[in-house]
Amino acid sequence: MRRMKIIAMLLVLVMAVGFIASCDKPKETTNTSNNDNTASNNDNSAGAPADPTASSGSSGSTGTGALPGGKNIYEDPIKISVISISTAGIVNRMYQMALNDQAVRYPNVILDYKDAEYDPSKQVTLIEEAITQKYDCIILECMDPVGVNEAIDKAEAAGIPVISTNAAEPFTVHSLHVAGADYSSGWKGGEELVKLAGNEGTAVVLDCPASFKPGARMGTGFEDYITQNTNIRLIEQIPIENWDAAVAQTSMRDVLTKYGPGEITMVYCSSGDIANGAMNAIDAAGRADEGILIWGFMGYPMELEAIRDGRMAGTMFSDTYTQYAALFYIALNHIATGLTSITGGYTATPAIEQPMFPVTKDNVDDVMAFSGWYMTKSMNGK
Amino acid sequence: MASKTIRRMISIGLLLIMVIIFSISSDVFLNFGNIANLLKDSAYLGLIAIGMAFVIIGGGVDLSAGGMACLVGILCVRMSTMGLNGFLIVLAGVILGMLCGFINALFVTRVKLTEFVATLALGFVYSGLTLIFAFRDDRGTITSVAIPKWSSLRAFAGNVGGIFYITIVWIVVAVIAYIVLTRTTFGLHTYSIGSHAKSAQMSGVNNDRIKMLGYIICGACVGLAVVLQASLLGSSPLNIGSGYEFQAIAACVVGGVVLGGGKGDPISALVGALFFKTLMNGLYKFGLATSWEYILQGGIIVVATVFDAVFNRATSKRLLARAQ
Amino acid sequence: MEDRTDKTYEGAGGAENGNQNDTVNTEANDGVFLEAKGIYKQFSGVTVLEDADFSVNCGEVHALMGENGAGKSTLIKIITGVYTKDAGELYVEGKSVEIHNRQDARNLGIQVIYQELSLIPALTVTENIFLGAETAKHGWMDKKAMRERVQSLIEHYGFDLDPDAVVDTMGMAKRQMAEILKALAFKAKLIIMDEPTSSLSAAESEKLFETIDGLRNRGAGILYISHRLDEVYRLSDRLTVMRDGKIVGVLKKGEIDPHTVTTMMIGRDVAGDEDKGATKRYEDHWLEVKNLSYSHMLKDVNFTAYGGEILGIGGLVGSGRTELIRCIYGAAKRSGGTIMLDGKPVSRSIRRNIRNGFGYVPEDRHAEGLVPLLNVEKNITIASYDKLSSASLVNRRKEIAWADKAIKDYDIRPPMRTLAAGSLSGGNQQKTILGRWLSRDLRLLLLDEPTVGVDVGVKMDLYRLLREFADNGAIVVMVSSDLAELVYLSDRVLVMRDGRFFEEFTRGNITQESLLLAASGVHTEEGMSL
Repeated sequence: MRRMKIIAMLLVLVMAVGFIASCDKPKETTNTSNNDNTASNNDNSAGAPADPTASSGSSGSTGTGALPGGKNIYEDPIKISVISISTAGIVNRMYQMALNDQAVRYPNVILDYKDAEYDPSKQVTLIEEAITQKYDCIILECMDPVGVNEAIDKAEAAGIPVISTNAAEPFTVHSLHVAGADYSSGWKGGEELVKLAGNEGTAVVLDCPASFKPGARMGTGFEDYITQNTNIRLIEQIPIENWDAAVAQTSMRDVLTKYGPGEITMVYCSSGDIANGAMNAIDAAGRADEGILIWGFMGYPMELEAIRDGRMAGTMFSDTYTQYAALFYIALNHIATGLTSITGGYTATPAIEQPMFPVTKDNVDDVMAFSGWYMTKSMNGK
Repeated sequence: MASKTIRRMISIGLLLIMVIIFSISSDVFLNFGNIANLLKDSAYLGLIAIGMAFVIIGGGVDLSAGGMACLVGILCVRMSTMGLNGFLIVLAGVILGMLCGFINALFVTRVKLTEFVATLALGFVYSGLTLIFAFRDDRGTITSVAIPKWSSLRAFAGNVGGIFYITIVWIVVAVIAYIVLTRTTFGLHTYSIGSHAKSAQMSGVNNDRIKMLGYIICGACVGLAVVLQASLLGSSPLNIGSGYEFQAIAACVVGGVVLGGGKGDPISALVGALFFKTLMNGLYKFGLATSWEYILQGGIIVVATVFDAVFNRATSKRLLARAQ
Repeated sequence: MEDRTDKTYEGAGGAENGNQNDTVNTEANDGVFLEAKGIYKQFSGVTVLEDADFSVNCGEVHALMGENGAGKSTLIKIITGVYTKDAGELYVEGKSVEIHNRQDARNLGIQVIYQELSLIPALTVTENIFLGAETAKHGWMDKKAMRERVQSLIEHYGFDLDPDAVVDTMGMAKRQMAEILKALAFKAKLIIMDEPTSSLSAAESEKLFETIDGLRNRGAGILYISHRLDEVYRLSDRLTVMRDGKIVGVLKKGEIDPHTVTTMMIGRDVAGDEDKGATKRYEDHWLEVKNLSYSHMLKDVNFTAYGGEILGIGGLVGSGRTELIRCIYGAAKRSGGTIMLDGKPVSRSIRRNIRNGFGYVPEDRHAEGLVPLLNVEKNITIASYDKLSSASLVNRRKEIAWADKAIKDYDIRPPMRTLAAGSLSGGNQQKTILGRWLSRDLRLLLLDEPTVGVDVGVKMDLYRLLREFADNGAIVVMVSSDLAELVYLSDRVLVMRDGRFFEEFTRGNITQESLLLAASGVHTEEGMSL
């Protein structure tokens, strides 16, 4: 019995030694965990109200010719890791559709969709995984803008461009941040909604998850507009974790119990799922005919239909499909030219912000006609 | 050969087989960087699993581990912004964890709620408290704050020769936990209340006290785990702990800690956590779709539980037959 | 709760002391170890013990018998400190004592071993013995010292135990020995055993008796509670009989005989209660089993049983009796052979068999018979929903009436159908299970150890019921290890051995001895070889 215990322990020891001994010498990497990428990293001052303009800081590139380290995007096998917060959800399906449609034309390009299952530690693991497996590009929907910094630094240093999309923007300098112009769209949404609602009343804001930079939030844009330019009173501002419709519904329900009929004029929702949750809450509370104006964000099919049916006042439409389709080519471009924040010598992350336009009852039919949502019937069941 | 040893050898054997298969089929698996990363990734879950093992062996369960982690994490980040020394912060994290564990135990032993209910509810409470302590900007909206670069807490994210501190801490804690559980009266009492609480009480074991200690130790492990992980990440996102209680339970179960109590040990928990993480790490190399991860994880838990049930029954039968 | 982890118990530690206190000084106090005088105890106005005078000597085996509710367990609990007496005096070794808790009892040398052993399955024998009193310094256990101590104890008492064996892996007999060793390790001078043979085979019981004899010879006092008169007869130096909270009498070794004891226990003469045997055999209703085989337990079983008769199945534990019953009922899937009822093959599905009028009272009522969390009513009606419901809706009135009738007919006490069945005494639980089946019109009733844990008075009632049942035409097949029961009730007995029938006995020629011999493989002249 004793002997067996010793043997077991020895086995463990052998395994541990085996791990270490049979491995290669640690590759020197230019980064250690103390790789300080200049000051802009983690000052979390509130972002400036205006949008950063596109493509700042590509000062190091020579403009045209291929930079060293590029690949042949038509022939070389190319792997792109697409790391999302969670692969559930309608927006995610949209990305995948958009990206896959483009990738069809490039049979040498493989898109790997990874699910971080709402776990920020897992996102870090997945990024490191992509580095280990020598992916050519990482497209990241970031949950925790701080936690991923080191991993992103490593990736960039290893020549893998990291393009962050849509969600939080990682603080560290990386190749590109692509998002909707959230703040300004929020502002614009405020303008439009006030046109419909009049200059009086109260507003409830169901905002993005708590971890977002205020400067990147549509909810903040909306709030700024109405507090600076109107008489509308902001009565509630609630961050909705993970943009989850169920969370939104519960929060809206709580708001409804707090305020009686007529006390809520408008509800600003930071995403279509959130708008959905808010609408359900209002229906469930039996207050659908109070005329509470609901304004959404993103322009999901559900929102468009709700606008057409008059249940929602409007939304800001973001052409996710086009955005991601374009993103595919941007990624390929980075890969082809070997462009990363390092080779490009960036001091700040360039950002592309896709402006959105308001959709109301007036133009919803046109929008539904051309929007990418309805490109495949199977997506919305019609 | 004692069945405990056989079980352990099976766990380790499977792990080794996995390692071998992955090493052969992928050229990027068995390299220093990947293994070091793997061990680093496993340590967070691994440390929590060790704490969980104490509670499970004592016949209970701690569903608040995730919430605890979130709370302690955010508090530690706060401390780091206030300029406290890194060692102190780690110590504080452990103590805060122990405090939460103590609260858990109070509800289980004094208020006499069932463990499942008590820890589940308290988990929510801790998560809620996390929001209260979260950083907010001038308008009051919650925002994410990093551990300052100058804070000495950052130093705990380092490594020696490529092996991360958190990994070393994990292994050391596992060994200490093992020694405590097998060589002290506290350990023996923990096994006894997990195996047959009534009989233990009749023999003079103070069930409540042992349970309380178990929960406090679990809290300490969770606190330690999250402080080190936050140090690694550079921040403590509000959901840093979400779901980890279940992952920890799964790791324990796969490693051989039986949910009813009385069987298993911290090394099993370590092996279990390592097993999961190694499996995932290896499978990533195959580019497996994420949906398969869920299926596999669930499948492994089912297989491990069934295996344990069959194995224990077979062992009992074999030995009983021999005894006749 | 005191912290005992740093104490070294004189009994548990100090191997260097040897076992000097082994032989209790029988000269002191005339050899009387424990004496209770005038013990009185009541619970919420109900007197459970009244004016009880009781004593146990050193170096004697003192048996305690009485029906359930007679006050045996209350007396024991007072002696061991679980309850406090309301009035009366206790003397240990001549000195007046107060026993307020288990620790006090332990300190006086009084230990109890219950039916449900108090060992921790996941721990080893050594760990179990030392649990709560470990040899440890500031929490760090000295495993070597503990193991050595246990090993020396094992050798001293000559038990066949492995100190490192995990209790989980040990059979019942060994577990019991470990439990006894635990008591001895703490220098018990009086060991109280409550129904110790209930989970032991005959061979294991015999070993236990030898152990008890050995302990007695070394001067320990053993207080032995049992329902089994044959054991009491074999072991005891004295026997105390209780009834209704009072001590009825104390018999010395030579005075113990079944008749006297039973009369004392029940309070009336049961001599007249004799089973008359089958009144008539129903030739048109029969159960026929041919070449039945199952797993490795049943090899080639053949028999026929007729309506109107009670067929007893005897044999040692492990001979296959339980498996036979289960195969007939459908609880075990037979591997070969045929079973026919009235010429038609018997189904393998329990549900169908129930519908066809089968009833089954299993051996382990806890695991398979009673549903302890459900109330008495549901436990009775649970098998009869075909009669009590229509279109899946249960007729509550019918159900209640059904249950009440059964409670009345079988004298289930307390007669509250809403009580959780798990809170009834063993005998009443058994009556409930029987009530479940007897209230139906059964054609075949299968019983496995039907009166285990049931006291004498109730047993008689049950025998009467079963006989009535058979008289009404049913076939009753009864497996039993209670030889007296087989002798009393059966019209025929088939003794099983190694998976097949060995010998057959008919009423008038059935004796306990011949049954036992047949079970052990010896043919006798009373029986017919098969």
